[in-house]
Amino acid sequence: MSDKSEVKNGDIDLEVIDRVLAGNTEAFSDIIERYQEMTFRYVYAQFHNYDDALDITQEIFIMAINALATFRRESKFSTWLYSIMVNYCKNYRKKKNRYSVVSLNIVKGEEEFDIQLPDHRENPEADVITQDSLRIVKEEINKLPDDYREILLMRDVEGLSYNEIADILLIKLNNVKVRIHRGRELLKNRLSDRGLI
Amino acid sequence: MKNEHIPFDMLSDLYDGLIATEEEKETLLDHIDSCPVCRLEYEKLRKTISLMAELRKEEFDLRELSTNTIALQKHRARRRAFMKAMPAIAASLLIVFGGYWMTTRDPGGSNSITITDPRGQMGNTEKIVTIVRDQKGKIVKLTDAYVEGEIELKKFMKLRRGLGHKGFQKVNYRISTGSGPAAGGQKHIWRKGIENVGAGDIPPGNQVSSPTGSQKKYIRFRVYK
Repeated sequence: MSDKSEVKNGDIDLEVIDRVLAGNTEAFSDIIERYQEMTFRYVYAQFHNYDDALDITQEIFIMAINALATFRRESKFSTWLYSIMVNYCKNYRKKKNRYSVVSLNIVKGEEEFDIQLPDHRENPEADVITQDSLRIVKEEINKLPDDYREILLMRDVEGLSYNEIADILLIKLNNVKVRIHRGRELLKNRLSDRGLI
Repeated sequence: MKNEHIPFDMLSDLYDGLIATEEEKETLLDHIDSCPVCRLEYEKLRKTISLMAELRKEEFDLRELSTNTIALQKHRARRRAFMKAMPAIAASLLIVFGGYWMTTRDPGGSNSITITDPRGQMGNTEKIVTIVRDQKGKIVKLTDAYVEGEIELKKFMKLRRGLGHKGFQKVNYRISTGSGPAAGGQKHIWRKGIENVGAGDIPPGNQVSSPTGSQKKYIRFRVYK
């Protein structure tokens, strides 16, 4: 995203926020539509259940509406929203066990087949090779330690800057760098082991 | 850097444009060009990040998310407002229905208790009782019409004066002899009529002298309210 378009979106966000705070809750739908993909993608990568991810995404936006008066406008709205998202997911994870794919164990004779049901709601139009690559990448991201996965999603999927990530996670810039380095190296080795790179 | 390989951290910084100086950056790039190991590592890093970036292109069916989220938020806000107002609503209902019950209940019903206010008579009874007891008399009976008591004869004069001063002038009395408060079974004969009394002696003809002189004489009286 270019700097100019980022500035423009930032101004639009503030304008919408002012309208919501004035009592027009419906106006928040503009913000939801702008950030829903980013939010859902992050949440889905954390929990790998489409319905749960939808519910959680909804809860994150509701939390944002209710806390809108506390947004101090010192950072971008997207950064503030990301903070809510990250913290919500952390708390949610503490309560629930996460699971990756839906699997069925079918016993046929003495063999056991583990069938993984792909979720066609993800990207029904994509060709098989890309979908398979993405599936492997997602599987390996899922296996990463939580703090590595979270930071790689922010940096390499959503394109957040190091400073933004430091603000969201409330950690020092150096810690951001270290986590990114280690996360990337771990993921790189695993994708290499699976023959993807 | 021919015999050394670039640490992965530096490759990652190089990719993100975080190498401090242009000179250092050029040195690293030159090494990558000349070192197959580092070139391979850098390429794997680049592909890893590229694959992750592909995830951003995923599309999801989120058409209803915005509408549903706003509707859910409004529903919860309404519910919160209602729950906050619940104590006040409950208190208001209690006041309204409590007042209605109080104004419509039947005071004479079988289950109701009618409390009349005999404040005037009760006050007089208390006054009479106090006066009698102050004179060391005893209360024998309390009725709506009178207070019956008994007192030593010699103290009766003072009692009469006390009653008169407080406005209780209608007294009936009889004199008895005996060893104390009238023994059970003794029939009491009261004077006819109720005498207005005040300060003064007991009317003549009613004084009875004790045959032995040693027994106390008592006068039984009724003070009419």
